[in-house]
Amino acid sequence: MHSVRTGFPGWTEVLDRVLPRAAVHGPKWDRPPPDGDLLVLDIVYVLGIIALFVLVGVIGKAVEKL
Amino acid sequence: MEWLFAISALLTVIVILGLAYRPLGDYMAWVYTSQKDWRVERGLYKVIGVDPKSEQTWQAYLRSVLAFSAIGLLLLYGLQRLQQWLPYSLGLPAPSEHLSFNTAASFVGNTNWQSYSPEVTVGYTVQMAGLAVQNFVSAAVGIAVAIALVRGFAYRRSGTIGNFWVDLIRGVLRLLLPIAVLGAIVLMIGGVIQNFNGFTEISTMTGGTQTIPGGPTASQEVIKLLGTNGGGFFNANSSHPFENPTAWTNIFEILLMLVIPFSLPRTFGRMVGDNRQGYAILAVMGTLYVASFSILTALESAGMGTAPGLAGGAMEGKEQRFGIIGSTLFATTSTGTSTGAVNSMHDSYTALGGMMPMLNMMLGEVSPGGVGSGLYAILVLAVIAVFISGLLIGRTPEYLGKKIGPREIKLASMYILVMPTLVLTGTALSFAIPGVREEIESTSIWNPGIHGMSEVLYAFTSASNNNGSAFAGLTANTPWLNTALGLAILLGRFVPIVFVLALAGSLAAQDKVPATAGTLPTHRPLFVGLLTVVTVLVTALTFFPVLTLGPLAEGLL
Repeated sequence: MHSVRTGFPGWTEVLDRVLPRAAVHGPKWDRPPPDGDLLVLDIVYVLGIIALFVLVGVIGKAVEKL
Repeated sequence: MEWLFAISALLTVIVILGLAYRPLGDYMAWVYTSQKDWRVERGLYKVIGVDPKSEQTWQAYLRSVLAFSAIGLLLLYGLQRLQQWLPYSLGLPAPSEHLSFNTAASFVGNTNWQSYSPEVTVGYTVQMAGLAVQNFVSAAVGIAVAIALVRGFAYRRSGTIGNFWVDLIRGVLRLLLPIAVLGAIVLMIGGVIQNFNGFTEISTMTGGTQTIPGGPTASQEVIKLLGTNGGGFFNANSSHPFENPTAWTNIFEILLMLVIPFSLPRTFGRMVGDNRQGYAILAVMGTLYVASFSILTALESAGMGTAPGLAGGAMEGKEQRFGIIGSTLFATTSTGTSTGAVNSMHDSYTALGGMMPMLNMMLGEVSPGGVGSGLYAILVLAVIAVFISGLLIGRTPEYLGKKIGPREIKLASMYILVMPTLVLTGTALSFAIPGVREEIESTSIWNPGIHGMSEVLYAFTSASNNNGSAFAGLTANTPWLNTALGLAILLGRFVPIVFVLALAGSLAAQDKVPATAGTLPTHRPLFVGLLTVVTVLVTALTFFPVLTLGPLAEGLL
């Protein structure tokens, strides 16, 4: 029969201590910040979004004729 | 014992929803029919230049929905791309172009598919000024469209179906905001965090360090569920203890997801002047919900296989705090509504068990469906059911006194076709285009073989139905999946809305015909059964072949 696990010597002090707390900050990440070279992709997506909503509007127009 | 717990959990939910059905349903009917505007509403109408007393044709209503959503989408895209310069961004860089597009489409489309880990991708400004705002307004758009369709049934010889801007603003101010404030307080009492602490580094007992994320979680959590949005503040979503700490918050979160969708049939009955019609719709939604929960719970509890057998059920990917019942009830709710929040990992469910959340979505999310979208989806199916019954038993095809003619059937049929087209085309293209297939196989799929195919099928099912949950073994943060799923979300949201509003306009223009001996009663159990069967059959015929290639094959082999 296993004995009950009681922890290591001085464990109560460890539990009661005030944990060091760093200032508010962001996480560490591996990816470098974007360099802004791909502005063309932003334009493609923005125009694509507008085109898609225009397309849905055109479907709405077509539905009128049903 | 497990089944006793399952039944008691289900009964708890049913009783509380039953208590909310009449008061909330009647309240929503009042919200959308009241002639009086609040002072704050009048101020907003003045700012955006809207006359609240002037109703719109279905075309004008549609233009308003599209314009509002397109502008919201562009603003959210821009907000993310400018993140590095925004305050309270925790020093996080801007997400990539394709990820920003996917996220913007996802939140505007009431989907909240997340190809990213929120806590390390979006700062507090994007979370609160972008994502949380869309959680409110995208939900209000869904309810507005449903109400417009209900008006179609209620109005006689009318050229209009309501005013979108009035419906939108009332939905946010009178319905979603008050419940969200109360709900957030309850969640905070339950232990959900609400702070601006950023990331806190602490030393662990073993001498290591751990980074604990903070954030304004409760305020976002409540609308994530109430608006059937689903996007978590943390990557682990509702399995994270800061989002869903205890068993009772788990039940409360389930109730938040269900309370509006299950009360909307009352609003429908009230607005068309026959509460029995609301009960009939409620019965269909409830039958599908209970059946789905029972089957999923049975499959996960059966414990087929060595490890599940030893654990007493399939416990992989499930939180010990919630167990199998707390997980399957949440999963059924989340995928039966269009929420997509998860408190367990659907990818880890048994093969056939994992098919159930997928089926809930493939049904078109009508058990009970998302806020608004569930009601308009089932009303479209009711139109189909009435037409089929007319063919089968020679009844006059009419519903609530409105004749279901060729135009109505064309609109309803095209509505039904949009979602399967997007799901099957998106899945097929992901494997058919050589370059894309290589990327999917090498980067996205972590479980090769049949299950990998199920992961991609699940992703397109979730996106096209505006659900947002995932078989999380799929890495979706790639240019192809972000763009393709973003398109599926937008087309899956707005193309059906075109047909719903056109149907509303078509019905509103008609006069009501009196019921005759040849009219099918649509409040009786016969119609409830017919509508349930039609809903299941439409799904079965559409998706059975692809399910045999995925979860059915995996489960039966």
